[in-house]
Amino acid sequence: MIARNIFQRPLFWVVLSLLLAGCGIGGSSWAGVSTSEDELYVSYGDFIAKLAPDGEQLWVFPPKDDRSSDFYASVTASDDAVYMGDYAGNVYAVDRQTGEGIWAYEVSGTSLFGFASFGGSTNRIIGAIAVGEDVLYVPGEEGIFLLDKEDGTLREDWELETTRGVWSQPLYLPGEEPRLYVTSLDHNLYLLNPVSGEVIWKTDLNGAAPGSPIYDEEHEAIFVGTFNSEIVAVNAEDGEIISHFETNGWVWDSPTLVDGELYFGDLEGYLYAVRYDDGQFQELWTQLISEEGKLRAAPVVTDDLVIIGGGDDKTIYARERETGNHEWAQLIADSALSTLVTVPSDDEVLVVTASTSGDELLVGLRLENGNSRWTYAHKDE
Amino acid sequence: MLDIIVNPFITLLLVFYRLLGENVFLAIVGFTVAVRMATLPLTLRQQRSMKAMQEVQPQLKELQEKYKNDRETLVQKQMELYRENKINPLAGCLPLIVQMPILIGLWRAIIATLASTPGQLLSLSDRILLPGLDNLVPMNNQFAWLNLAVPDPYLILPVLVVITTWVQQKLLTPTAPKKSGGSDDPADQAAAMTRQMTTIMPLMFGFFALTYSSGLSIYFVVSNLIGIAQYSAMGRADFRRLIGKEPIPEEEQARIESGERRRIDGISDTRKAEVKLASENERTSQKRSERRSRAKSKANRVKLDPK
Repeated sequence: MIARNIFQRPLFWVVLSLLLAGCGIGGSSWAGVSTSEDELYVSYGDFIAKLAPDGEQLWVFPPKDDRSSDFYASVTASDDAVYMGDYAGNVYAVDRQTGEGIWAYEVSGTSLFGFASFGGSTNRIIGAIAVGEDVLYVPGEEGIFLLDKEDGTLREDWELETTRGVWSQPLYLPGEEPRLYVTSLDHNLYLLNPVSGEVIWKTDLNGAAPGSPIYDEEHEAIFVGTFNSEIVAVNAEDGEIISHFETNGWVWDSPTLVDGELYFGDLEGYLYAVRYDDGQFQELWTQLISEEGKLRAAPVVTDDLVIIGGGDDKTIYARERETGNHEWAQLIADSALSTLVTVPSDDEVLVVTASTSGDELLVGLRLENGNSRWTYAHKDE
Repeated sequence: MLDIIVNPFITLLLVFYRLLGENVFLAIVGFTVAVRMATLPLTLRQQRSMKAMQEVQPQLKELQEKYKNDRETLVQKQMELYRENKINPLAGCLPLIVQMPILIGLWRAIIATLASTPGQLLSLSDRILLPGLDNLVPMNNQFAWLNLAVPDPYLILPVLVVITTWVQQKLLTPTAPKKSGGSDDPADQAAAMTRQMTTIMPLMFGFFALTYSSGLSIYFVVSNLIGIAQYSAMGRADFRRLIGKEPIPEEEQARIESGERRRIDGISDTRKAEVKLASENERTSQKRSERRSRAKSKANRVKLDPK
């Protein structure tokens, strides 16, 4: 009787729906941070913003009343424009100086009572756009599609279909024989002819690869981190797997390559320094940075330091590049899952990253000691 | 706290995904069937309890009427009635209390494993409890026209969710006595509430289907179909309700059934007697014919032997 009464109360269903709605199985995403020259860009929630190196907001896009979808992808700057895609599958070109829209490639469906859309695209854009020769390579949930850089026209004769999403920025290598490398959650690394779209080869990495591929010109190799808990070295010419480096947990982002050395973190909280030579990985050092922290984003590497964000423990860690020993650690407002970038500001270099806190979305830290120099909270003008 | 339930479910869903050819649709169907089968004893117990409670409703009503001014005696008499009929009033509640976290855990596991956002995919890294399943993540969410990680853009699944939830509700809802005019009787109020729920629940689940990943909608549809099948198998589904007809009251049903049985039994007895008579007649006629034939052959022998 009691049970039946519970089920018969509309309040029960409201509570249940709230429970379900609050199914916080991980948040939606983290802020995308990118830099070009001395400009900073952040994409988070339903807006993107351009900032000066001192944290001053220069513009926000789209205008407050035109916001309809979330931005998960980082911004890509090229020439006079910046490009980004949103979670509904739309792509925007925005004037780099003014923040005004230049064109929009829109695919959104119809909204039903404001909470669900139908008839639209499920090709959500989570990775950053790569800029090629007069074209944009847009990574989506269904592969890669091509847009004209000038006006956003879809090139219907060019498409890469993947069975799972491409969540990373494709790697475009210009030259006489330009190349386009694409990593996908469908476990494959693809090499494409960026002009014709022809797949030259694809290599099964035996695990999802959510990070961008990294090209090592000296060794003619591509490095990719995977959910199979390893970094894989692939021959950039023929796609043969050359070597593996096993990690303790999933590797989400690309490794950072500096002077033939690779630096990367895993989701178990380990930070690695590895040298790649003669087709072999050679471990320099491994440090457990944080048992709680998921080291999702690629580290920033300077002459002396390796700096990386620990996700759940909300901390930015700096380690000595030579040994991996502790240099400094700085707590930020919330999860430290976003990409780290460096920007010159006055006479020093700042490490900038984002949290998921609205009050301190971005933070500029002094490279030498990790002290906060500024924080940024989004505001509509 | 729900991680204790959600994480094993995520792992189980991935095991199904591997066993069923890495087909996410089949994995969700298999997973749903497995969990529903595992909780079947609880479901049956709850339904039996609800049926038993329904059966004593007239007596309960009588007691309420009789002791409406003496609450203490009423409670005492109700407990006696429960004891006499071997009913535990909490037996319908306990299975539900056990099932609720399983149900919510199951929903959350499906949403988490389909990992429609980077945040959800990231959180999966420490939720998989068995080694060797990491390279299945993220699952291939494409099935037919659907990306199971997002709502169905053509609204086909939400419509199916609404229809199957309504059918299940309509079949499961206990018979509600219809009365003209308003009534303050709690039983009538409960019946009215039940009728409201038949409308609210399909809409509520339709809302979920529009908002959450279509993988969850597949769970709803499969789960509803299993519920309908279970109820039908128990012989308790009255499909007349779907076309707006009132179900036949149980006493009348019982009377009709017993009357038919008597008629059938009667026909059967007559038939038995007829068969018995026919067989006796046959035996008699056979004996008679044998006697006649013996007499005839004796006469022939006499004729052939004149000497």
